[in-house]
Amino acid sequence: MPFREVIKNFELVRSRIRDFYIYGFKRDGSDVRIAGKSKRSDSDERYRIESWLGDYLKYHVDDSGKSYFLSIDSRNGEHNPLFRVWKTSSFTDGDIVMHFFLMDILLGCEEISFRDLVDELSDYLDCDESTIRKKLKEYEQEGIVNKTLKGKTAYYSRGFWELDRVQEVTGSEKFEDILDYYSEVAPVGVIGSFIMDKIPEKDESNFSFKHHFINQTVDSDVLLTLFDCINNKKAAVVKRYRHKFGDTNELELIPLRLYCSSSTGRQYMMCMNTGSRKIEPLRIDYVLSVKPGDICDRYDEYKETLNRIQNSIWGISVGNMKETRHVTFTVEYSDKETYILQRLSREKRSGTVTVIDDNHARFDADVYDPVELFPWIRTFICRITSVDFGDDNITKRFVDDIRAMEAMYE
Amino acid sequence: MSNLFSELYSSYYNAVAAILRQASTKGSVSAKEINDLTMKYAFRESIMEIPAALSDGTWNLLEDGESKLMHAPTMPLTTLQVRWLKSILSDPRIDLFLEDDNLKDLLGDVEPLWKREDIRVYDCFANGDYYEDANYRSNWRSILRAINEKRAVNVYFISNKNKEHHMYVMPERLEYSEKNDKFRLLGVTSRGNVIINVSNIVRVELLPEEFVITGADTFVRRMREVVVSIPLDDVSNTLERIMLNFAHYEKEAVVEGDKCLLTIRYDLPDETEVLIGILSFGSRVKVEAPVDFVKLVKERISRQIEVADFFP
Repeated sequence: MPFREVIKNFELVRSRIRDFYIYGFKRDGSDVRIAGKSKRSDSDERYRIESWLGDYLKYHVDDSGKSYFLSIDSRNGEHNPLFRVWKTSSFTDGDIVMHFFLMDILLGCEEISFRDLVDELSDYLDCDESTIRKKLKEYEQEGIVNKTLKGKTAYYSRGFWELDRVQEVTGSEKFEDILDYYSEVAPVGVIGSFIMDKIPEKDESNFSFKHHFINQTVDSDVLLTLFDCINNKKAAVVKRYRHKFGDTNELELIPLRLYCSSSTGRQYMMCMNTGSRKIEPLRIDYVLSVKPGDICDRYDEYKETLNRIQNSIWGISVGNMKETRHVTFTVEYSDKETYILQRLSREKRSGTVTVIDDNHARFDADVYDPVELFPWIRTFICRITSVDFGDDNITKRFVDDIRAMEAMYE
Repeated sequence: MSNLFSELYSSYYNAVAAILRQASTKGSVSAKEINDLTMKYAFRESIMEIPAALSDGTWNLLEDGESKLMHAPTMPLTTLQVRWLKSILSDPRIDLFLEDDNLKDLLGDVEPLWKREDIRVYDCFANGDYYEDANYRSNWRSILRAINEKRAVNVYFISNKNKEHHMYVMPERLEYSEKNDKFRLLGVTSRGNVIINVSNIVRVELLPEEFVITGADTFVRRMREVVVSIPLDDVSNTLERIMLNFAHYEKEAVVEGDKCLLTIRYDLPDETEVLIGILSFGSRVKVEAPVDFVKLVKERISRQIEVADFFP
């Protein structure tokens, strides 16, 4: 079978994009493979990705051959290139021909009966009534076709939301700027990109983005299903990868709120695990599949539980959800380094900052998982005068690691 | 739930729509135009499929370059697209764009895909821009208008030393950082690049179209590289964490023996941010090059050992 750049199943490419091209490597047990050093069977996927994202695909050569990796600088002011991956769905010759004629016929009339529609379509393409009926039903579900019944006769018309109407109400330039910006920053931004594609001649972006993470783009369908569960107060039946155990498991969770990191781009759905009766972060990029489950009668109660403990969660870990630990550290700064005090105040997510004197300030917080503060406190290395994580072992781990850093550079 | 991975959104459909649009508008479309539009709207290998399918009648939509459709092709918005638009209307920054409620009124009864309360960005800074401020909005809109109209602006702003200055700027882009929750104006002046926080801008004057800033070129970024190593047997999964942490930078990973060498390219003004970002990984990540960057790290660690009361 010849190579085709369009695909039927998105799941096949999702993990491939992430493992080899976003991270630039694939971890397989203890074996780490750098992008592109893959088996022959992987080559079709690589050719496809080259075809979609060739401008961003780079490689280096060493003794074992060529290694490909995807290198994207998100500050360049270009639209997220990974959106292209969502625009690769395959279709039949009949699908594309019927699509354009169907939309064209409906544009030329207020409404049309099924019989007349079949007659008109038959002038251009050869297909049976059941195929047309199936396509109309599909388009009705997508919202681009309306069906009304007059007696026993079905009439069809174009969907209610014509793009030019929305553009006109908003103002063309404004509407394009809105899409330009929100397709990059809003969840499931690829949908904004789909709208932008229907506006001819819109190329250059007026925006660029710093601290911008595009990797979650490939998880957009997972996120959509989880949002659907939240909207309908439903459980989600999730199959996920478990990094700790290197395996997969399937379970039912109640999705409550999406937690996003602006520092790493990671997304977690905070869920209630009704089995363990604990709030549990579900890492979105580890979800292999998800489908809506049953309506959850205690949904509001679980949401309230999350609201109640929210201030004690530094990142996404809730520990045992019973006891918090008091974390405190002190930093020193010179008279010219008062921006350190500003950093503490703006970067703290909870807790308090107390000015001790002109050159010292202290941070205090009560959190479920003190280890989650390690990375942030380390950013103050060179000025931490004291630190206590409310647990001697955890404090020792932090201090020992600074000693290890010292030894590493000796 | 509608299907996100659908041919309705595919680049192939978009390319064919562009070709048919061109044929409708101009009366016909040439083979070269078909190739050009395919290259523009679809993928690298699409040139092998789309022009052939249109010319040999497999996709019976063109005849001798003329569209068989009665109209230029358009498609209504899908339910998914309308619900997405409704969702973004709950974002506080939307009022920077919208000066009236027309779009909000139009989408009144549409059910959003998500609500604002469904999302929490847990680590963004607390001193983000104040989007409700009327003067901020006015300045922000003037900058965006200037970018759209490719016009220069006279920007009055408060400097780091708390003094008011003004500058003639050719704005290129508005840069947004979710982490800082701030917009910055990126532009060029007669002296080179300029980056100004929109929140520090007091007033923006839109200059006439004919106003030219002599010597203003395009925004040029000054880049540097740092090389770090991460052990491959690392149990705490540092390799993956650092790849994610620096995912927004241009980077390259190479395996060398029992470690991964990661080269990160960054803008020179962001050096401190990259430095503390690397320090946040502790002893799992070592800076290998360049020498001056290694020196910066060593100095910070040495000073840390000196100032702390927790080292014997």
